[in-house]
Parts: sequence; structure tokens; C-alpha cells
Amino acid sequence: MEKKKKVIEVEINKEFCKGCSFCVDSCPKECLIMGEEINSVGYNFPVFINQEDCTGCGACSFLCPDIAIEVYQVV
Amino acid sequence: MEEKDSPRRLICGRPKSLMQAKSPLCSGCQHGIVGRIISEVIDELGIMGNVVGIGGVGCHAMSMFVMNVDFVQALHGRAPAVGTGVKRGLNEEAVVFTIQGDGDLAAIGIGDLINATVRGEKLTTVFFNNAGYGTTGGQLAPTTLIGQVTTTTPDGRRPEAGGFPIHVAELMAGLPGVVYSARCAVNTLAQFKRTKKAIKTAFQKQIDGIGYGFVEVLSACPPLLKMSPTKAREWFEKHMLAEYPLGEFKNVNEREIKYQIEND
Ligand code: SF4
Ligand code: SF4
Ligand code: SF4
Repeated sequence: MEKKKKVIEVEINKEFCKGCSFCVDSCPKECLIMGEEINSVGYNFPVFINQEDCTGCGACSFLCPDIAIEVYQVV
Repeated sequence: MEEKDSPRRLICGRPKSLMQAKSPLCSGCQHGIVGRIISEVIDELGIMGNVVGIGGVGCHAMSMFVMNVDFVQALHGRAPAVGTGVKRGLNEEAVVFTIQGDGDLAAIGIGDLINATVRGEKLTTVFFNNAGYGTTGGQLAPTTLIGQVTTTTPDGRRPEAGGFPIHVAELMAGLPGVVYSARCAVNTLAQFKRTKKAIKTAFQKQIDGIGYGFVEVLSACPPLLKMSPTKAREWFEKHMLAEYPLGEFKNVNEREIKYQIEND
């Protein structure tokens, strides 16, 4: 029987983000990139582009100095 | 937050004892991660209503504006003394911790810290070491690396004039009142987990009435280094980790007490 794949959602609070890109650097699966858009104080914020490969490891969330990322598992 | 049609479980996000508020720190300031770890530990230990934080002076103390727990602002370097007053004078049951930066703890406050352990206080200190004075614009601190450029050492710290970096975690491990001392970092997920375990242990030693718990957490201050957050993190990995070894320097379950003089 094939194991059911975990479905993970990564949510970025763009207004809390300060554009340091630590989340992008720390993702082992290259699921995040820095976006072109800017938030209300002028920082670029990341975009979650690769749900397929995301393992829900949490590195992006734990290493965000601004606690702007939440990771969810769809049940 | 928008409605999702499927139910979902939070794997990781903002801890309960951290307010839903924007961090007051600079972009790429890892102090924010340390504040988050302390909050997660407070949540996990279930002590949110029974914990008192003492903030030193400096950027590290900004955590007190975003944490959902009681805080007292101490004078520069005096957090362990204020913590002593709270614990001994106001509420012996409270879990009292100090957060202090390297300018605060390692310079003006080193005497207060050592004396708190000499008095046998049972407190927990989280020491934010970023190798300089961030708040005031990047001057030399006792923790600044040899060769590191700061506004007061424009040619780099030279031992002949500027002395040597202080290793506080090792110093603390040598003091009999201290039962836990570790140095950690928050640059990778594995280090994040180690730091959390260390901070939790340092709190637990106080809760169990064993003695003083101390955790030094290394980080990089991008404005101090005049670098982007990513460059500052690279600098950190190359230089800070070379100067300051990570690890546990002491972890004991009872204080060693030897009587020189027995009175009967
Ligand atoms: S949870 Fe892990 S794999 Fe998924 S985006 Fe974050 S860092 Fe990448
Ligand atoms: S780590 Fe946090 S603050 Fe930095 S870019 Fe990612 S979401 Fe923004
Ligand atoms: S000056 Fe340095 S220590 Fe202070 S908030 Fe900015 S990055 Fe953090």
C-alpha cells in the first residue's frame, strides 16, 4: 500500500516579515523564494512555491527572527 | 487569516507566551529567535502565569515588549540583583529569569552575575552574545573578537589595547553555585533544537531547586557588522563559532558542598 503523502501548508505573515531571507536559506527543499512584492514597510517577503517537496520540517518557521511563518499539516 | 476548507494541525508557529505583535528588532536579528525559544519553553513548562523576567539594557531586552509574561526592567547589568530581590523578597515560588546582552552582562554586569551565583541564588540567565554593543551603534564589548572592527576599534580589536574576548559560559561552569552552563547558537534547525533543550534544562534546574542555570546564545548583529543579514550569518559561522565553542560545560543535579569547618 502506498503511504499517504503529508500535505503541508506554509503561511507567511507578510506584515511581520523583515526580508532577511533566513527562511529561504534554511529550507532544505527549496520551497521558498524571496518575492518581488513589498510589504507596507518596504521589505520583500518570501513566497511558498513548492508545496510538493515540503516536508513540514519547520526550519523556515523556527529560524525566522520575526516569527512570521506558521507551518500546518492538513489532516 | 483566510478560511481554509480542510482542517489542519499547526506544526509550528507563534508560541502562546509571545504576543501577536511585530518584533521591534532589526531585520535578521537572531535575538528574536531566542525570545521565541524562551516563550516556547515557558509554554511547555506550563509556567506562564508564574514566571517573572528581568530585562537588562540593550536590544535583547526588547523581548520583554513582545512576551506575554511579567517583566521588570533592571538598570544596566543589574538583572541578577533585581532577580534576587524578586525571588527572595516577593515570591519564592516564582520562576525568575534574566535576559541580558553582552554589553549588559559581560561588561558592567559581570560582578552582579558572579555575585548572584556566589550568594547561591537559584535563577536562570539567558545571555545574548552578539560580540558588540548593537543598541548604541556598534562599539567594542568584552565579547568582541580579536581583529573585529567596531566603531571604537576601527582597525580591529588588538589585544595590546583592547584585551581579549571573554568566555562567560566556561567561566560560569567553574562557579560552585552554577549547576548548568551551556553555549548555543540559532543558525540552523539542529542548533535551534539544542538551544531550546539547554534553555529548558536551565529553567528546570531552578524549578527543581537545584541552582543557577546559565545559557549563552551566540548571534550576529547585522548593523554592528555593517552587513546584510545573510552576510552577517556567514560571518557568524566563520568567526563567532571559531572563537566560541558550543556545548554544555556543566550539567549537575546537585551543588557540590564541602564543609571546611564542621561545627558540632
Ligand atoms: S517546512 Fe521545511 S521543507 Fe517546508 S518550506 Fe519550511 S523549511 Fe522548507
Ligand atoms: S525569515 Fe522571516 S523575516 Fe526573514 S524573510 Fe523569511 S519570513 Fe521574512
Ligand atoms: S542593533 Fe543588532 S542587536 Fe540590536 S536589534 Fe539590531 S540586529 Fe539586533
